[in-house]
Amino acid sequence: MRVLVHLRARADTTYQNDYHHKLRGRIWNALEGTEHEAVHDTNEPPGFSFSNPFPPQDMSEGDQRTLIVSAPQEELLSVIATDLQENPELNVGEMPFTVQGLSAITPDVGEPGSSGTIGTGTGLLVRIPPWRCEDYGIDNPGEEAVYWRPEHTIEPLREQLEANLDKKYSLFGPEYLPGPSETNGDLFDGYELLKTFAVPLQVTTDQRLTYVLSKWQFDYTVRNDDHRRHLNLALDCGLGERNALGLGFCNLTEKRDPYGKPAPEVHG
Amino acid sequence: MSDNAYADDSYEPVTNRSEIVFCYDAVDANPNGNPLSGANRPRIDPETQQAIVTDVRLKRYLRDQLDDDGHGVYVQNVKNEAGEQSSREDLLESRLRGLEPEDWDFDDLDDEDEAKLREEVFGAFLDNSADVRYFGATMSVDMKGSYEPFAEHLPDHFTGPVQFSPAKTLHPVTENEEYNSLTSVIATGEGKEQGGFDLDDHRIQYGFIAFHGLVDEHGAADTKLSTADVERLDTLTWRAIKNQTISRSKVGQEPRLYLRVEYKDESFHLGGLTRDLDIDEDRSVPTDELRNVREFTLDGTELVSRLDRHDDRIARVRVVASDVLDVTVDDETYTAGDEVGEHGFYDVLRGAVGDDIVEVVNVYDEAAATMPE
Repeated sequence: MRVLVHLRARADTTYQNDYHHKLRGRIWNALEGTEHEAVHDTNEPPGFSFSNPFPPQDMSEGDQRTLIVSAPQEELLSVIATDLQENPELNVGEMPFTVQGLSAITPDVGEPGSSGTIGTGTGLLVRIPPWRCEDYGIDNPGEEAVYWRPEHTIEPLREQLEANLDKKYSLFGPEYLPGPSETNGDLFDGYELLKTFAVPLQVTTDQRLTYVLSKWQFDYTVRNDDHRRHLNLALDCGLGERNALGLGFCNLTEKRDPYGKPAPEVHG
Repeated sequence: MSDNAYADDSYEPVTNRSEIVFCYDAVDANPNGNPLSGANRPRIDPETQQAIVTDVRLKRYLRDQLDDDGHGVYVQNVKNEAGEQSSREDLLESRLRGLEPEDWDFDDLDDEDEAKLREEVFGAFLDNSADVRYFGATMSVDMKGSYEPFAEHLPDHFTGPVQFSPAKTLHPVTENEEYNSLTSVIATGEGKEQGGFDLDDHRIQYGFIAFHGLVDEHGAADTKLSTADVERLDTLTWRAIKNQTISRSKVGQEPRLYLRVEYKDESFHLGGLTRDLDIDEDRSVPTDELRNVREFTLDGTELVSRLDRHDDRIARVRVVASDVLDVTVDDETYTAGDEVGEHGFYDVLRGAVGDDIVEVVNVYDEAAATMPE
């Protein structure tokens, strides 16, 4: 599920592409003192993801923007929503906003037989662990993880995306039902790379790294209820790494039901 | 009214009575809040601590699914297309206005004339209102003035031939600790807390809910409920719970068992089949510790035994069970097979009523054929 945060710019402002670190800070501050705070100091996926304030253009005072925060745990979103209501001033670096309202939506890829497209709204970062590099024919002399680039081909991306979602499923999915790696079939049946781009990210207070991110359109056809659950989890948690920095945030961009009708709604 | 209540040659009346058992479960959810409780608390029987889900709640899911599938629906949810209901009333009133009172000899209307009149006024309305065909409705059509003579020949309400009874969980339930749901946070922030609806702060940990339904073949002709409509229930109920509980306030509910027993003989049904189901307490965790379906086992011994005793009266049994539901019959536990569409419970049913009588519903494959043309 996800919260749409309706924003109003408080001043004429240049759009800041390096918004990630500041927004992340606001979300962790909201979670401070709750059970969700514990994940902060671990390497575990945080269980939330967020969009950029969109549309990403320079603003005049009074302009409207929207921010989406998604998570599989409703209570976590409730905590964030409460914080945004109680403190409607939201400063994302040099971009000053006021929260004007909130709404909630629950995107769903659809019942078995439905098909559609999931787009990465923000850049995707996929980590290839050093011990898998040889399997994929990737040259990696060091002990450091490699991050996916187009020359690595689709195969490692496909496998590592699923392994990553598997980890999130073990944390946030129902344990009595199978996770992505326990079922047959791929998560997606089409991978369209739209572009790659480099973004400098403040990973920790004293570490700033430049990552090569990619934007994708992933086509899917829902095979069964398990697959539906896995894809919906991807929409909630985000795909790939660094979701707590807003990377890998996903949108349902197209959806067709199994019976030849366009789906009633597609949530951005 | 009789089978030829409507002068519509394309209408295929329902000839067999059916009894429906439909079970779903709720995990960390509020399966049916009670707005009168002030905080939309789950409805719980104070004596037995069983959670209660009204037939209204189930019919809401079914209507919403009918609507999403593109079938016409008369009783609309507010979330749906505005004006839809009034357009159906308009349809009815325009049909009525199209009638000339002087064309009808009200003192001498035979059955055939009445069937023609009903088809003229209500035929198109019923063809376009799937939910009225199932569950009935009260009409609000003004038949005053020169239309008054029509009133005594036309129904002012439709009794639904498909009736569900309010359901209870098969076991006592435990309420979760309160927490603020996203819906309530947003509603409160916008100053809408006075409305009180949909504030799902209160949820039960786990509940296995069993509904009982009846399809009355005698009432079917009144609303033009067709055989295809009845067969649509075999996939609609399952899909409705799957699809209409995705939203945050209803999340955590899953269909577990559907059984439609179609009888051979007119006016016969066993009755109360849902009461023959029970929790298998020996194979389930204590009810106050139940958290999900893996910790619950359904006891279907009495149900299978009753069907077995009356197998000569049963034309067919349409069944689908969740692949994570365990069912015991006569102290033996039956689980899903390795292949989709296999469940040990199906085999037990086949043993009880006959191989040819049991038909396993393939929900998603069959659903396509139930869609509007």
